[in-house]
Amino acid sequence: MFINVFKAQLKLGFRNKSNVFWTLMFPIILGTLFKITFGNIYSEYKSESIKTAVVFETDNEDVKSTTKAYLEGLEMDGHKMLDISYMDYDSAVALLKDDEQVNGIISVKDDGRLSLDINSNGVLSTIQETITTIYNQNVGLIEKVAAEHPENLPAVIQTISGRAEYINAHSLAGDNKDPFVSYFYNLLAMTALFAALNSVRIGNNCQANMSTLGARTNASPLSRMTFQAAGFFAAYIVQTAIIFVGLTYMLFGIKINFGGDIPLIYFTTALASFLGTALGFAIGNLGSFAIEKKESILVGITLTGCALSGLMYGDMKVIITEKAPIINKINPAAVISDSYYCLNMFGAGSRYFMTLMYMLILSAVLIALGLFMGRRNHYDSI
Amino acid sequence: MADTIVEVKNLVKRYKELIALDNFNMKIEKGEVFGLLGPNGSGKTTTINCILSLLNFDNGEIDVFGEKMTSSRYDLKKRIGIVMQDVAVFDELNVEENIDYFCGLYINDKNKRKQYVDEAIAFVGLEDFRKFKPKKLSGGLLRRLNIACGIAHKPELIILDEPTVAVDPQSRNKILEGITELNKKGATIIYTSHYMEEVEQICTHILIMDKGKNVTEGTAEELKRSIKNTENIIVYIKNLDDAHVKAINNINHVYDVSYMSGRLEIKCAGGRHNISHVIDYFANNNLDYDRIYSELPTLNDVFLEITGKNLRDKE
Repeated sequence: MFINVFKAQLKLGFRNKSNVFWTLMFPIILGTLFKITFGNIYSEYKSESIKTAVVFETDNEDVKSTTKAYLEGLEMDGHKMLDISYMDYDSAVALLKDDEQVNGIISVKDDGRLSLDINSNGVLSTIQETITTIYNQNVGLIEKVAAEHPENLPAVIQTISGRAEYINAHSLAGDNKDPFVSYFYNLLAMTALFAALNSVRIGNNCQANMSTLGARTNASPLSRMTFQAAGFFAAYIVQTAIIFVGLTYMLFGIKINFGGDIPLIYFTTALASFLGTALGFAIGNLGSFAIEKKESILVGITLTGCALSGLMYGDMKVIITEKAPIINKINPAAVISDSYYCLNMFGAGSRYFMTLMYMLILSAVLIALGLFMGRRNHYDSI
Repeated sequence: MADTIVEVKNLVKRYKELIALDNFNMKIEKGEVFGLLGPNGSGKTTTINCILSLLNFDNGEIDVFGEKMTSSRYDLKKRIGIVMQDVAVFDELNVEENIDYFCGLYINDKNKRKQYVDEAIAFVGLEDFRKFKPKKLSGGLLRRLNIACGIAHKPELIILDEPTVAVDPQSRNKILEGITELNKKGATIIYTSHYMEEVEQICTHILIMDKGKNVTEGTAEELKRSIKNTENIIVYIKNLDDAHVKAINNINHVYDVSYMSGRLEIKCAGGRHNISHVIDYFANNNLDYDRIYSELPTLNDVFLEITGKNLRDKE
C-alpha cells in the first residue's frame, strides 16, 4: 500500500501546477533577474581597483595598523579591491574634486571607526560605503558585546570574521568571492522552503476533520503512518527534482558561481529540500483549518525567514546576529543559506558540516511536531 | 448474529450542548439495502461517521461484521466501501488513476486491482472518460466517479451518503441500477438520501431518524401502513374559495386539506369510497374540476407525518 500511495503522491506533486511554478519558474525568473542586475554591477566593480585616499586622523598606532591591514587586505579575484594612497585630508579633498584621481576618502578616526567622503554616487562609491559600514558595524558590535555580554564575544567574532572574509574574499575554499552570490543562496533557500507547499497537503489529505479526502483515507485500511510516510517521501522527491532543475539552470544556464564542489552544492540543496518538506509536513498537520490558510502561513514563514536571512537586504543577517542571534539558528532560510555560504567560503569543513547538522536537527524537530499533531485517528467533530 | 452486518446500540454523541445522537439503535442484516432517512440535522451523517470510527462518541457500542469497531480495526475497514456526500477525488489524477488510487488503499495485487478498476469503470459507465481529469467531468459523471472510487475494491458493506445529490435523472437512474446490482452481487448497502422515491425504489428496510433518535423502521409498506394517512385525493380545480376548502375538510374520513396553485390535496384516514364522497361534493355544489384521482400514501407522506413539516437547519 505504501508503494501505491507513494506513486500516486508523486503524480500529484508533479502535476500540481502552482507548486511547480513556485518551486521552478519563480527561482528561474528571479535568478535570471538577479543575474542581470548583479552581474553588471559585479563585472564593473571586479575589473578595477577603486582609487581611495586614506587619511589618518589619529595617532594611535594600533588603530592605524589594524585599519591599514583591513583596507589593504581587501582583494577580489586576485587584485586589490582598493587602490590606496595615504595623504592628509586637504590633499585628499583636492583629489576627490577631480573624479579621475580618487573615488572617495576614507578617514580613520581616533575611536577606530572609519568615515567616508564621496563626491558622487555610483557602484564604486557604494562598494566603498559597504566596506566602511561593515567595518564600523563590526567595531560597534564587538564593543557592545564586550561591554554587555562578554560571554558571547567568541561567537560574535566568529560571525564577524565570516562576514569580513566574505568581503575580504580570502576564501579557504578559494572559489567565488562575489558578495552578491548571497542573494542566490537566499533564493535557493526560498525555493527549498517552497517545497513545503507540496508537503503541506499530506496532513490535509489524511485527516478526516480537514477534508473529504481525509475522511475517505481515514475510513480505509491504510494506517496513518503509512500514508504520512509515503506522502512525505513522494513530496520530498518531487521537490528535490524540481529544485535540482532550477539549480542546474543557475549553475550551467546563467552560470552562477556558488563556490564549493558542485556535487556538494547539490547535496546541500537536497538537504535544504528535506528541511522545506519537513516544514510543510508540520504546518499541514497543524490544526483543522483550511489548506489555503496553511499555505498562507507557509508563504509568510518562508518570506519572513528569507527576509531575515538577507534576501531583500544583504546585511540583515549581521543585524540579526547582533540583536537576536537565536533567530539565525532556528530560521530555516538562514540555516540553508549559511550552508551554501560556508561551503563557498570555508569548503567542506567543520563549519559546513555543522550547518548541515542544523538542517537535519531542524527537519527532525519539524517532522516530530507534524507526527505529534497529526496522530489522531478519530475526531470529536468532522 | 453472524448475519448482522452492523449493530449500533444506545449510541450517544454530543457536540457540546447539542445531542446529535440520543441512545440511537440500529441493526442492519446481511443483504439488506438499508435506507437511513431523516431531516437535515437528524444525525444520519454523524451515525455513519461513528460506524466508520471517524468520530468519537460519548456512549454506546458499534459492532461491524459482528466485531467491535475501532479506528485501528483495519481488517474490518478493508471490508467496507464508503461513498461520501461530497465528492472526494484528486483533481490532478484522471478517472482511471483516481479509482486505482482508492482501490490501492485496499488491494495490493496490481493485476487484481487493474481488473477491479476496469470493472468499476464499466459498472458506472465511465469507459469513454477513463483519461479525463475530474474538472472535465459533468456533475453526474463526477458523482459516478465518486461511487466508483468507493466500491472498486468490492466491499461487503457499502455506505452511500446521499450519492445522487445534484445528479440528472439519467445518471441517477444509472446509479440506482448500480446499487441494486451491487446488492444482488451480495453487498449490504447503507443508503442515505432525501429523495423518498429513490429510497422507496431500492431499499428493503428503512429507518427514519429524527433529533438523533430512531423514530420508526420497517419496509416501505410497513411504514405506510403505520401512519394515519391511507389515501390522498388530488383534484385540479381553478378558483376554489376558502369556504369550500373548509367544507371538504368536514367530509367523513378527511383530516387534512391543502389548496395551492389550483391543486387541491385531500388526505384521508381510513374509510372506503372517499373519492366518491369528494366527487359528490363537487357535483352538489356545481363545481367544475379538470382532473381528479386517488393515490396511496408514499414514503414522503410517511416521512412528513413522522418528522413534521417544520423546516430544519442544514446538517
